[in-house]
Amino acid sequence: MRVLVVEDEPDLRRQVKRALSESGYSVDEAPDGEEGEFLGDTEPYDAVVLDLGLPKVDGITVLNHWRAAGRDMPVLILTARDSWNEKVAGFDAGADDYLTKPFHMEELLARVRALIRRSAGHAAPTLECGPVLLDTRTGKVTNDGATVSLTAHEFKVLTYFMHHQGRVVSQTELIEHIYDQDFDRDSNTIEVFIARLRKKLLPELIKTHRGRGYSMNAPGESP
Amino acid sequence: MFFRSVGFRLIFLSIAWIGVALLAGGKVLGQHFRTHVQNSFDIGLTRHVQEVLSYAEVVDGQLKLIRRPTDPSFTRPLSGWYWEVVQKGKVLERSRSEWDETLALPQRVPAQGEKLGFFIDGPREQRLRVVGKTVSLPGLKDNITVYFTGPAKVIETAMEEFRETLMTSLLVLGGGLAFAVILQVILGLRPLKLLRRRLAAVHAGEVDRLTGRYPTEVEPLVTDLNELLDHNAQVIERARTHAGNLAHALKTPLAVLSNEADLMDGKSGHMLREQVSVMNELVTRHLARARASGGLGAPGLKTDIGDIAAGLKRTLERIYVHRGPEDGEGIKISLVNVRGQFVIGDRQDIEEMLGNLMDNACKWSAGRVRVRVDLVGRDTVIKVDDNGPGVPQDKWADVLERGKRLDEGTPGSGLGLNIVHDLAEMYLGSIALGASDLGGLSVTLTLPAP
Repeated sequence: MRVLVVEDEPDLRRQVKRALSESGYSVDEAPDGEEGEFLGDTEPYDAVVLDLGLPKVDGITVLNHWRAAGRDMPVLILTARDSWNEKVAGFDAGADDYLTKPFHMEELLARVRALIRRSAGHAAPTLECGPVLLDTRTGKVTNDGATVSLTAHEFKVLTYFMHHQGRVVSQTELIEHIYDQDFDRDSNTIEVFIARLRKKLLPELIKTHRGRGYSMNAPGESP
Repeated sequence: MFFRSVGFRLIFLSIAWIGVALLAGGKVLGQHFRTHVQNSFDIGLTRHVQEVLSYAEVVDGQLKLIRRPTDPSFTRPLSGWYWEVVQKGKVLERSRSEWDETLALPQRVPAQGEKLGFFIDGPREQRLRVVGKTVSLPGLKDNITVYFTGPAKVIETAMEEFRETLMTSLLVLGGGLAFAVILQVILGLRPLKLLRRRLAAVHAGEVDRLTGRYPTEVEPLVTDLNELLDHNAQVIERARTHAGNLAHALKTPLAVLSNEADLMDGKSGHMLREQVSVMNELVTRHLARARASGGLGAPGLKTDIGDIAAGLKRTLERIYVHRGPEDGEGIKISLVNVRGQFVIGDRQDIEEMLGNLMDNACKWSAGRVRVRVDLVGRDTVIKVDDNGPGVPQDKWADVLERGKRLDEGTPGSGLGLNIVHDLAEMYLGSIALGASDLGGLSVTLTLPAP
């Protein structure tokens, strides 16, 4: 899951990035509205944390541009401006949630988690695929009730598949959503992660569609 | 009281002046006309005097008229047209029309060559105009005086006719002038009336500045007023921007501090968190006050509740679309009778109050929130109800108190209702808690209606 953080205050940006990364997200950051808007336009993010008081282009304008261009990734507004006037303006511009500073990091993480989950169409915080359960709140993965230990990258791949079950996901899409933009991408590693996931969980959990990509289906369900 | 109106003053003074001028004019004209008519009458009589004198001959020291005036009026009995020739108080000749009466002529006779015109009371109490002329005839020892009279009624009738015409035309003239004055005052003062109406519109919040063209005398006033209004708006706007910038400048570092504190263990982390939370509450509360426009002082503040409530409903239903850890069914906010309801006050302030009330209701609600607006007397009463657990009556006072929270577990600064309380006080309004028929808390916000 890939998240964009647009925030001009370097310390806060670093804190948010660290917290999100620790929760298993690939995080890109932008220090101003211009760069933020460009990244949001060109990269496929699963969620955006957007400050409103940004240099160059303000957050509401960025959001308006994205929505006008048909970009519908969930956006969490993170701002010091807490008047209702600004909240209404934020939601009317197309925000999905609104968090005012100062905030607790757990609150931010919970909101981002919920946004991603809901935008993929899942109501419950625990994602389920056959015997495999993923608790988005804790990041805990169980197989038939037994806790499974995964590396950060394995977790990212599994999370993406769990959110998008029953759909063929291409290798490019997978790469785009699990690596941040600065990461040295290598498509071969994807195959390695998938092989490990099959081994650690269930062999038939992830199917390969030659030339098209992979899909995750609960046993007994076709893609 | 009437004299406090410029229009009334102008109209009253002008009409008074016109009345006096017309009365004086009428008087003078009447006087002149009387003199004129009398003179004409006298000239007529004098001609007769001359006629009689031309018939006079002196035979043996005695006056003899070879002919008498031919005008039949002088032979018709008691016609008012008489003549007499008098010598030393003795009537030598007289007209037939006198019949058996004599004229009560004054003792004083005109001096020789002099001609006199005067009035006497003649026979049958008829007022007569008399012209008398004294001449000396050669051969006569004493001067003779010839008097001719005509009924004064002729003069009076002419005068009456003239007076009637004069009165009518003066009345018409006066009426016309009064009408013109009233028209002039109304037209002349129209810009002021317009200004007053526009100002009332500004006060009622329909427009935010004075528009339209005004005469050069009024224009500077309008310009000054507009500058004052603009200045007011600018002061508010600047304070808002400043508050917003300050919020941003203070809250972002607070967020950084709070996040660092969350990562710290032990006593110092706890202390830091506590202090950050205190600072945040102070900043939030004081910035909310700074952002407020200052209540009823500024003109041009009228806010449509319906508009605001719709925006807030939209926003809050999105914020609370998935309640709780498992995605719930969200909250249904119903707006009752909010359309076209107005309160006096700045839009952002009203939005802040209503937003906090509705947010609070949503926070506690079990799925239903109702906003209802009623006009009660001169107040607009906004009631926000929820179907949550409610608040016991003995805690109602605490809820509105500074910084108090009944439950630390629900997210939010706990300042919502306090901010509403502060703002309501600035607007000379009030906030009260009660039990809702929906089962939860009912908060009533009363604000002055326009």
